[in-house]
Amino acid sequence: MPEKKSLETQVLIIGGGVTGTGLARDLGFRGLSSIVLEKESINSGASGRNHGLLHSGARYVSSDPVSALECKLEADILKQIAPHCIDDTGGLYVAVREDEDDYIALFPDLCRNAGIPCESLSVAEALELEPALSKDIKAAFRVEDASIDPFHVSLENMNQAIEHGARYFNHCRVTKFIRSNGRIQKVLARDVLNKRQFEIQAQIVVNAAGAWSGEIAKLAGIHVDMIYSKGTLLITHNRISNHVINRLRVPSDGDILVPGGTVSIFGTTSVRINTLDTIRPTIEETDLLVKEAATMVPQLENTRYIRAYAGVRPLISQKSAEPKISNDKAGPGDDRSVSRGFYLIDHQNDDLDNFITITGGKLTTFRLMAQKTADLIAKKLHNTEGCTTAVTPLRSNAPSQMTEAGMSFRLWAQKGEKDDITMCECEMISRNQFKQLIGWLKKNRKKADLNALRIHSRLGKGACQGTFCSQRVTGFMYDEDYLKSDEGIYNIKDLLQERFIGQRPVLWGNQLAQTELNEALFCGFYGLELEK
Amino acid sequence: MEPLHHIETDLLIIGSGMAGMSGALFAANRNIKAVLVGGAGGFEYSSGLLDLWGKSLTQKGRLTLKPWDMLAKLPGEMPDHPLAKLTKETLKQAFSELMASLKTQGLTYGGRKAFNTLVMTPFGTLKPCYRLPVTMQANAEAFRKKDPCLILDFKGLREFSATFLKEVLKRDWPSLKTHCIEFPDTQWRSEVFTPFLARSMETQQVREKFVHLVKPLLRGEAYLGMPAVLSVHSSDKALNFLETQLGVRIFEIPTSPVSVAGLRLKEAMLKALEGSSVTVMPNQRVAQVVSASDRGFDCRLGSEINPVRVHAGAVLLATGRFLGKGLVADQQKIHEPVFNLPVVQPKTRNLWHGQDYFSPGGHKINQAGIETDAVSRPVTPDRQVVFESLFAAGSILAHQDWIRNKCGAGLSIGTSFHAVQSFLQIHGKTC
Repeated sequence: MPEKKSLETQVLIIGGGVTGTGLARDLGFRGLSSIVLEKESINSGASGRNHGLLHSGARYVSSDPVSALECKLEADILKQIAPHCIDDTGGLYVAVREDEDDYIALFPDLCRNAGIPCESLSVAEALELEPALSKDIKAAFRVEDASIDPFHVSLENMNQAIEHGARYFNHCRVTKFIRSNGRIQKVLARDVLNKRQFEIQAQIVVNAAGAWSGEIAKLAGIHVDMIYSKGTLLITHNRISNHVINRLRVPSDGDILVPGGTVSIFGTTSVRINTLDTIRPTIEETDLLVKEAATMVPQLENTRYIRAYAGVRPLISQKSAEPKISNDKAGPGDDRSVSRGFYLIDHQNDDLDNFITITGGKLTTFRLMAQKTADLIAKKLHNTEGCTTAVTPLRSNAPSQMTEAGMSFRLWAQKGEKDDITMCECEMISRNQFKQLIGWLKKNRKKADLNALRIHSRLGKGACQGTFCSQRVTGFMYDEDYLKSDEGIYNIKDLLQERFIGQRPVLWGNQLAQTELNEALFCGFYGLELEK
Repeated sequence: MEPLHHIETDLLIIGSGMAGMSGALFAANRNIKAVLVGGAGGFEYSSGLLDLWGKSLTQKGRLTLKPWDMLAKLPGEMPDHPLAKLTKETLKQAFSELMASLKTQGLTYGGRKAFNTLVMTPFGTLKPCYRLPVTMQANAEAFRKKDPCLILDFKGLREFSATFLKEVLKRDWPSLKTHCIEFPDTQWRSEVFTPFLARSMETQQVREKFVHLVKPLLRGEAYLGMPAVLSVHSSDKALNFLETQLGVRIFEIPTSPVSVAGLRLKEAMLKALEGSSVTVMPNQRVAQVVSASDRGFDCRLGSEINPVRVHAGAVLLATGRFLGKGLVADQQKIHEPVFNLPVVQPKTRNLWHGQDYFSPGGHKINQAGIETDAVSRPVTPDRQVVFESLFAAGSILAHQDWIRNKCGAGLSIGTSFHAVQSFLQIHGKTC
């Protein structure tokens, strides 16, 4: 948390998602100082609530071929600079019986025209690669999709930015912009945890708040017309496939299955919502997804789901601004047809010289979005250093690796410390790893509570959803003097409530039994639902 | 394939949790010829504390010390609750019969005559119970008096942190001290587990080493507390020995799974059934009900390869809820998998859970289950008895939330007692 009441920086970035942190990294390389303000925690918006898919571009070959190529070029760059955040699985596009033959026939040409590599496979070849696929598939293509860990990326972005002088503040909300003479003179913000107010003076203010960009712009007195499109995704108990599997049809619900370490992620829906107050996955969306999923991968009908989650795509209404990358095939009805290209808006035109909004876009193109934004900032600040983010490796810091499923175990096995013990069996995280992580959080003046540990590791993300690890890790934190008084109990309650919201839509079968055990333990035995 | 074994019995008890096992004991005490089958039973998840009713019905989100007062209100407040249908006499008799059986196995339970006891958990919160192992009695006493007390922690034990307890309680209990020791003979282990420690505490050798280790740590404290590891089979004796040797009141703190105090219950109940009229067939689930009628039941146990056929005049279904697989939910509905009994349940999955996990009112799904008549027999929605000699008991029953109301043990013990009584009433002459 900021200790000073007043902070100064060259660039203030609002939003600690993949774009904001990527921008901080870019600016750092150019020798420009920045502060990132995040209202919750890193990637708590759409950056952390997506498939974790590094797009080959093939999904956009029909609706938006320019975005498609952009995806391919950016994915190639990220595979070069951040291989430790990426599982280069490759992807398949498969069509089932009811899918339109016309689109299937067009697909290879559309890919070729857009510059997206695509290889035709026989049904037998596809089934050999991915035995979980339905025997009813009638066409298959191989593309260059990959799986990417967005938490790992954002954490490393920020780590590298901090090494270059950036600062990062969690749980800080912008409350007011003080503007005069066509500039934002000061930004007032509040730390939502300790309620303290502080102010920031910046030469440039960047609105990288994702779906919340409209709200931030409004604080500055500017109208940015956002469309809120909620997408719900499901996490399976096991890894179902080795490739990313896409449904070969015009983009619709439940098209994509992405392996993520030891699990798979399946989604999404696209539901227009009017406010950002409650972004929760619903039972109806979950059931729709499971039904759609099963046509492509039959076992998804009976598999165990660990949880559901929902994110809001930061889309922008066409009439609000000219997109950086235009979309000329936007059809009515489905928000998926709204451009996934990004928007870089210089609010000079709104009589604010030093305010910029960067929104829209995709996880895959975050680096390019950061680059274009940094170029504009550099121009305004007369900085002539070029962008080097495409050629500079995203360094690997040990603590950030723990967001990747399966990584904790590998690290533990490599180290083989004799007196180390497992604290979380679902995700195989050891005591020393938590100790290291807590130390690192403390060093970076971040609050080391259970939710922070969850964000920085796989804590609470396995089958038991925090039943056993939450108690053990809390006990350990007390033993190590990190927790005082009864704050551990509130930590546990917060974590379990947060986990429950995601589990609620998938509570049937085994996961329901798991939750019953959890409730019997934390309510039946510990009585955490009672008044103190 | 033809079954290798045919078993004829009067009563088949399905389920080896609290309800099934106590039902078996009640059957054994009445010399009823019975067979008990079931899975692991879930005792490793049980704190070993036996509650009857712990939640206040008058003050929201509070506990009560007066279970009988609450139960007396139950017919008015929750008329469908299974405990509302039982008399105080039935419940008292059920508890005292069970307590007597446990005592013969060296597992003594105590408690206040008519009131609840509040036992502190590893979080420093309080768990109400009606009956508790003697090894935990001083737990409640120490907490009440706040006298000087030392809490022991064991190196490498993940399920317990004495510091956690101390930090939560320190404001009200400043004389609470903690110390972490290496449990005897665990030097070579980085990780220790409660059942392992408890089993080693079975031996005199380890008890003596323990005394030797702990004696120098005591500075005139009135109480010595520790996680529940005072052996599995001889906890009464272990407590006695340590208290005599260390000259201090000793208590256990129930732990989260694997819970030794729960394992003790299971082992004591199994031992009490040895040589009785009840045949225990552990780790056998009913694979198929081949035929079921008012005259009796024909069930196939185990695998296709090594099947066992049980023919029973009556069945006591005590298979528990979702964790015990007594109830199974798919995306649409909740089912009862053994007899496909009608399950009372909310209309849609949307109603199963609320949004607030820790809501004091609980979730509607917890009220789902099997509806029974006055003599514990499952009934259809129009209240027709499903089978003349099918009885149900325990947490599978509808209209109760044992988790929120802190009545899990009372529910299982009381309803299984009532079911066995009902069985006798209906089948008494044929047994």
